[in-house]
Amino acid sequence: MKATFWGTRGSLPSPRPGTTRYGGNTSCVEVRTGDGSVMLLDAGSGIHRLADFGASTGRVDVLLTHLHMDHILGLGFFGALFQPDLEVHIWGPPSTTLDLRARLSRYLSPPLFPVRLTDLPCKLVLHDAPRGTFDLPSASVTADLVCHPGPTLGYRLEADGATLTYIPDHEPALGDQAFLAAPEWTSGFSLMTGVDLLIHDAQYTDEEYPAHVGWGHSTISQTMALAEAAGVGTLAPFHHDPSHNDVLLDRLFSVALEEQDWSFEFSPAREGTTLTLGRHPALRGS
Amino acid sequence: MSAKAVELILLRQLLSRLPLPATLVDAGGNIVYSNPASERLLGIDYEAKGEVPLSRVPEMLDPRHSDGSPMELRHLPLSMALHDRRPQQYPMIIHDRSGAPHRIVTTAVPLDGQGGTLLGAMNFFWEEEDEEQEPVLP
Repeated sequence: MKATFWGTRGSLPSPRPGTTRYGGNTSCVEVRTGDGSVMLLDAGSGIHRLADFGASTGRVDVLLTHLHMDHILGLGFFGALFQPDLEVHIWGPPSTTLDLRARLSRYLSPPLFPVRLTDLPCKLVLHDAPRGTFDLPSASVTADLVCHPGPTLGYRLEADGATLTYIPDHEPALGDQAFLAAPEWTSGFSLMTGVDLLIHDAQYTDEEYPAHVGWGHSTISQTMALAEAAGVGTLAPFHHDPSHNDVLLDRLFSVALEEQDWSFEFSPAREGTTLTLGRHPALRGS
Repeated sequence: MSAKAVELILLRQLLSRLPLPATLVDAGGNIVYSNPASERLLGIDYEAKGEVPLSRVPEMLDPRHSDGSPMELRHLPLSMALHDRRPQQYPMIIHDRSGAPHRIVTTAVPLDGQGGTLLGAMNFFWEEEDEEQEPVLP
């Protein structure tokens, strides 16, 4: 299983000279399994770089964690949706009100977007992701709601003997005075326990967090502590704050790494890089 | 280890800050959380006890109807909210750890999650005033 980061930025696309290394596109991770199956985690602006899947790919699964704009912004520019022979399955969190089609159509319809969902030429199938474990063609997926404003899922993928957990927007410390004292009372913990690769929200610094409590995100230090407690193989901090440039992120991650002797490998998410799983820890590729 | 449903996690965090006594049970009928206000009223340290099955409530709290007759487990508002999946409000008597009676009113609600999954139930309860109060007209 290989995970490629096409968008690592949180909240807002942030392309500028100072963000070229970590990247300016919003959340999108491509996961490819050994048999060539493709799963995409979120459809932020990074998804636009995935234009053509080739004739050998008949199906693509897009797993949306939630429908905040930075996670669906790229959908209208996702080349697969315009390939008539391609089957595209989009999975998203269930809601107590509208189904996934109705909610996505709020964006993919005029006046916000010129093309409607119903006009897309691909074979589009929309699914409310079940809470629990379900099977995709080459992976077992476990979805569960996590702490973030609005219905938001975290995903745990198992394929090729490897495990990956993706929780890009997550505030498990919200209101928890004894954060991590009781893992069973920690949002998302069972999704991430023992995984080979954890891709997790690390938007804020400790200094920034008090002004953003309840916004649904974690600090870098909270994420490091979570990864340590969950016994993950590799941590990829993700959803970088739009105001944090490459120099600052280098410094923040360097300081976080020096805080203690962490038991996991540390590989901050950088746009365009690939991590190969199946061995422990994850290996960074090109 | 299996983490609790996020709805229970968030409720626990909210209830821990409320001055109103409150209890959370999971779908299996286990008391998974009792807030500090509840523990103060009942004199029971649930955290030390760990998860307690609802079936132990009769021996722990000696619940009774407001006329003093014993209340069966299935008639506890929390039990009814859990099994009938509808809110319940009921005046009743419970006894704290020292055996002292408390006349309370309890409101229990089922916790239905996304897709109709039953996550558990929760209740709030408060002591009735000793003196009857005149109703306040709107």
